[in-house]
Amino acid sequence: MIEFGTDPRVEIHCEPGFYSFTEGTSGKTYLAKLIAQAGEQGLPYVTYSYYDYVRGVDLAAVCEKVQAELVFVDRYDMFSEDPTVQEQIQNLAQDIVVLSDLKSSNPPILPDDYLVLTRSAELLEVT
Amino acid sequence: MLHIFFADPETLPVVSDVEMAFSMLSGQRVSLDDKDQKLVDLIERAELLDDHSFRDRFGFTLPVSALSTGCKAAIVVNHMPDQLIDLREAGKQSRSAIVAVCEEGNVLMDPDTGIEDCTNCCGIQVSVEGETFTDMSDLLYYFEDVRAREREEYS
Repeated sequence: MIEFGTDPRVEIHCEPGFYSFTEGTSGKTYLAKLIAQAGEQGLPYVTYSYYDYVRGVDLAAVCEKVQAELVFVDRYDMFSEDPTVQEQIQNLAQDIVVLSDLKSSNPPILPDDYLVLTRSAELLEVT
Repeated sequence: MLHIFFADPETLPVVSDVEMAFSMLSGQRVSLDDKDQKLVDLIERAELLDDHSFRDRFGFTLPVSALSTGCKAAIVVNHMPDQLIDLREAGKQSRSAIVAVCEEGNVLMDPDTGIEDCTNCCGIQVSVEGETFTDMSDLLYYFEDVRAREREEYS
């Protein structure tokens, strides 16, 4: 389990792999923001968004630089067709937890599972 | 009328980056209206406080930049009726709220991703592939037909 933060606390209960969220899940953007904040505080967590992609930031390089244990690929539908990113995600997912907000019904790479995000004022839990 | 397209008709300017379009609206100080309030309520279960902030379902006051991408897409549809808004980043709740609330505009969506009825028995004003729908259940049947047609074509 990956756990961090105090306000709210975040708990992510999953093994390494590539994941999206069940339809209708809310709070994904907030989760991405909390992961980014934790990364800024020095934890091995990364958020990679469409704007990083547009700026040419390399997903694999960013994750390698911080020895990431968790990466949230935000707005992935905007660049899910890119085969380089697809390959990087598949490689990363062998060792670390890769979360995404993928909404496409026919994605180029299928998530290993669809997660549920529950949220209260104190806890944001991914199972 | 809200026009739903399953493919780009190439007759309208397309907005594919809804986050950027929403930022532009915010930068232009566009006033949010009752339809935006309804969209935010249906999608986020939240309440717009003014043009810059909203109260989320837990009672926290946040800037509108913290709304979900799907909710921003819905607000963009409401304020850019002359453009084709690509809903690839909008989830089922957002797509459904757009169909229920927006009476004008143009959206591009994948019929496979689906919608659900959140109209609370109110009518809709939707056109798809030349057919007009004023009842959500008729539109849901139509989406189901489109999916069935696609399955037949693939099989």
